[in-house]
Amino acid sequence: MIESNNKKKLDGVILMNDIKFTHDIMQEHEVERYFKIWRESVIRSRLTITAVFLKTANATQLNENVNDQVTSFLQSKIRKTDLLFQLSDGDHWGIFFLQSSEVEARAFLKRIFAILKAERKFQQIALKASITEIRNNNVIFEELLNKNKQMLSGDEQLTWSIAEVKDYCEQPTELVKVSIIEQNAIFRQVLESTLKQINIPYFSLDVKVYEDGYSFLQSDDYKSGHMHLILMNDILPLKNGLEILHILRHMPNEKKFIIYMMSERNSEGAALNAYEGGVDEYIVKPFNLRLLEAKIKRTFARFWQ
Amino acid sequence: MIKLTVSTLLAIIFFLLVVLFIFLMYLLVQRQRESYFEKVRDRYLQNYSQLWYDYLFNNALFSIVLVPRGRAQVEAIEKIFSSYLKNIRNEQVELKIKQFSNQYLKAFYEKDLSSRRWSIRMNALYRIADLQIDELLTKCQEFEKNNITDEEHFQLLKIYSLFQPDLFMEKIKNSNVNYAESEYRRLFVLLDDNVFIQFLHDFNSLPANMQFAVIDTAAVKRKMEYLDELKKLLHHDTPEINIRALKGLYEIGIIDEMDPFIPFVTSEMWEARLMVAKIFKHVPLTYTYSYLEQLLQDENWWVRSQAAKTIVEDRHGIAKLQQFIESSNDQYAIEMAQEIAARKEGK
Amino acid sequence: MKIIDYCMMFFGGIILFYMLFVIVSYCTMFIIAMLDLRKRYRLDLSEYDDAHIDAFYSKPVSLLVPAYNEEVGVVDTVYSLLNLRYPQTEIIIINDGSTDQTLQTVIEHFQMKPINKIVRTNIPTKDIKQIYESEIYKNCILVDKENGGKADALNVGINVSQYPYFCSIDGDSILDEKSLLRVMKPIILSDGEVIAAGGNIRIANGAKMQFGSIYETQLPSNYLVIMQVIEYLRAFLMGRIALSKFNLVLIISGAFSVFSKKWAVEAGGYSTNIIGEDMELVVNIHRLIKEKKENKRIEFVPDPVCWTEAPQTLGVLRNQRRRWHQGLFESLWKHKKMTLNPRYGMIGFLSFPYFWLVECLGPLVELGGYIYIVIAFFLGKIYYEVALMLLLLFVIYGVIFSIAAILFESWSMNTYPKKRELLRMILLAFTEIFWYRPLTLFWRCEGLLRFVLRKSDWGNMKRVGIAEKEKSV
Repeated sequence: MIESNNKKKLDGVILMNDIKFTHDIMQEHEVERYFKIWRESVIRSRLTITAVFLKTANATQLNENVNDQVTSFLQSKIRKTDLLFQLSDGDHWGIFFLQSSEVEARAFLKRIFAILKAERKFQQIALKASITEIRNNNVIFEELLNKNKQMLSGDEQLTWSIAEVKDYCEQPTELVKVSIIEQNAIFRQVLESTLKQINIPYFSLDVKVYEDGYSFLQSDDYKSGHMHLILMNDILPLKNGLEILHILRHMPNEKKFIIYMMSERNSEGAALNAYEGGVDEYIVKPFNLRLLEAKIKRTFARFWQ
Repeated sequence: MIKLTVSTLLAIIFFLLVVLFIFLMYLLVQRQRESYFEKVRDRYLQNYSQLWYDYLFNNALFSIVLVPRGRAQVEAIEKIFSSYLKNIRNEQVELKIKQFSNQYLKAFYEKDLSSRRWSIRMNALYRIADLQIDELLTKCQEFEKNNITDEEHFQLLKIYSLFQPDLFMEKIKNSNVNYAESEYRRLFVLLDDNVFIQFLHDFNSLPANMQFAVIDTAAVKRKMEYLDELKKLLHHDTPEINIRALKGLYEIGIIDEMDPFIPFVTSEMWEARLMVAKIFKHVPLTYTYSYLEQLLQDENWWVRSQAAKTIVEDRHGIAKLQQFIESSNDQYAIEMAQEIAARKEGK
Repeated sequence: MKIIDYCMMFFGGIILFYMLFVIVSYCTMFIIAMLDLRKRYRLDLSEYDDAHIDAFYSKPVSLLVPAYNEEVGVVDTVYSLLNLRYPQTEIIIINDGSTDQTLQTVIEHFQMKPINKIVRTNIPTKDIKQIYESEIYKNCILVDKENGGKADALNVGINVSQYPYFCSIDGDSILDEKSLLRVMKPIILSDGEVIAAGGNIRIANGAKMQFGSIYETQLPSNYLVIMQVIEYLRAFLMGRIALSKFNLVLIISGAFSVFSKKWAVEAGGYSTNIIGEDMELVVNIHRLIKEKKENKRIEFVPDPVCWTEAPQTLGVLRNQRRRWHQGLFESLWKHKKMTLNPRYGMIGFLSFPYFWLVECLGPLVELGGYIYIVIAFFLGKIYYEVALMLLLLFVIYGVIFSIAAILFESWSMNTYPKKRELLRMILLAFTEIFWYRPLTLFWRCEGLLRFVLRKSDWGNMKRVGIAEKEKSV
């Protein structure tokens, strides 16, 4: 796309130099529409988005060439899943890292800064950056940009520095349902007490217990859209564990179920059967309850990138 | 005379009815007591289950309230303990249960051991083993001197194996009771490895039942140390032992050399040939194919079936079977190969 | 007149002698059973059960469920099997050419998909049409075959099975979750010396059941069924336990029994041309044991439980009893050479004579007794007293034993814990000899008659089908 760079018109005359071959780069208003969709998937798919904004630092000479050089350099360094765009004021670049956290963005910036500093052809370029990690959906595009621009404006920020906007990195607490299906009343109580006491950051557990398979299925609790952890025995009165497993895994939104099956059977055949049926973990009794707690915590920790 | 008999009969009937009536009354009273017993037990469960959880699991302080007053509460505690022990494996919990049982439940079981009823004594023995009441070990040894049944003796052996392995070894060797293989297996599987391995070392001095049990237990325990011993047993005189050793080696599943097994391909016992066909599953097909082909043409259906199944497990197995089908003359072998190949492909 | 006198004295004597003999033998069995059950009173069986859950310890069992027109009950039966606490099992449902929705019901409920499976024909059977495997439960198989009768269906099951033991279960029976474990107990503990075992049968009518789990047992209100409950208690408690102790068991109920596959196959499997195929198999195995001179046993275990539907109307009950008795006679007659034959040990010397005299021909004598009483009452003076004596003996035999069995069962196993139910049973037991007993005796004699008559046209004998039982649903 050939575009003349209006900002640097000299004496109202359009010089040949004005005609630039800028690469395809998205503009702010185009990106805004996509942003709304990504924002929702932050919650739904638990994908962290990190936004990085770059501005040339004071030391850079203001030059048409420089902007394009920076643009093409950035475009060559980002991944296929990242999006580079230019802000409407022409001074800033924005990059959306769609599946990365602040740590990865920082590493990226450090890398490109190092390259820019080292190579001769980039000698006139100096940048400064601002990072925003987004972990919730209370973000308005315009605000996001303004906050970062504010961070980058002013001379206090040094060249090659990386500032951070922390307004949006608070992960919301997600409600997770937990169902325990166990016939032995005493052990059921033990499991209930233990699971109620588990503390997982950013997740809150709603624990319910059932004595048999049928009352679990009658409760309709499992039909809601929440993530649902099921801890059940394979042998249960009235509708046993395998049948419940089959029913749950054949529901359209079955991915929300995390199913742990406890069993007294210590045979390879039974375990294989269970895994093939869709169990996430096959636990042979007697088992270490503390380890189970740790496993559950770890399972949830993995959900956020 | 007939009149006499009639009145005798009437008397007998009357007498029996009275006896039955008394028994009925006794039963009704028993039921009443039992239901009261259950109420006390359930009340304890309701009031103290949470406290037990806090104490056993959450390191809460021990409360004197938990100490049982009377048999019904003991039964409640037994229920709680068995629920924990059957479902959770936790050293701390087990230790606390052991300490509590030794301190507060010991007296009850001690009394039970002297009960006239066999079932009460058995229950006590079960609990002593499960709850690890080692303070009653000496009492158990005294108990053994009484005239006890085989089942009680078995339980005692189990108790010894848990609390004092040396004593256990001594007793089991000198015991004149011959237990079933499955019972020996139950005992052996609970043993510590360094105690169990002594049985392997002393193998030839054991009676046949125990020998079989030892081999099967070694297979289940799956320790590398037992591999050598099992391989030695392949050369034992008794064919049954050879077969069991083969089975054990198959179940452990670590085959580092083929040579010890090759002689069994031509063994007279079809069970041995079957086991070799199974064992070869753990060896790459290139080394074993010629033997498996031999076994595929074996006279015994099971051996042929297993040989085919083993071949088919390998990546190139089906191709090999196809080759065989085309080139062979053995009708039964071809049939078997075809069926197994079809089944594997059907999957 | 003299002839009548002689007849009356003669028959009277026989009947009296017979009654005394029966009462004495029942007494012996009762005492033996009592002593045995006493020992186990209050034993904590869960201890044993849990130690054996590990696959390592137990022997795997194939569960065979032959089904003919059982669309109502087969799903519940299979559910109860799926909930058995036993390490390794496979469930084989055999649809014996049902004409109702049995096949479709099973396919739907358990998501059955057709598969190819190699079947080894150990026992010749009718053709198999198709084999299915459940998608939910990998160890559950359905076999669709041509109609051939229960025995043939079971034989197909044996052929398809892969495990060394099989358990035959009726298509409308429900097992308790620990049943299999407990019925296998003698087999496991004896290291294979026990090669077959039968379990205790309880009447399910009136019990509340859902998805194969019985969650409340209740004495049914139907008097006919209550009488059957009492009868079962008596038969199992007195008959089976005592016989089992001495390896004299000839009948282990087809509704719930476990066999060693090897022995069953060698004995020829289930016979398709005989009514009492379960008894036939047991007798054949006993023969085989003796012929091979091995020291094997067949036992009866009173703990495990199989719930089964009992007939609720007179018509159905009559068919059942007639059939049972006809089958009993048939089997005994077929093996009559074993009676009092030293080659067959105690089975020949004790079991067979007992079954012949007491179980098989007994009803004739008893019925004769009833008739005798009626006649004697009419004839007058001396016979009046003889009749009275007989009546009293009947009372002992019927009422006393029944009440004793009820009380004893209540004490040791407590199936019906409610006091009211216990009293109800006892009261009803008083009436047994006046209506229930004569009826069943009559039907059993009918069965005997049928056997004798059918014998003459053996060639035309149709295979007696599975009795149609009325469902309480």
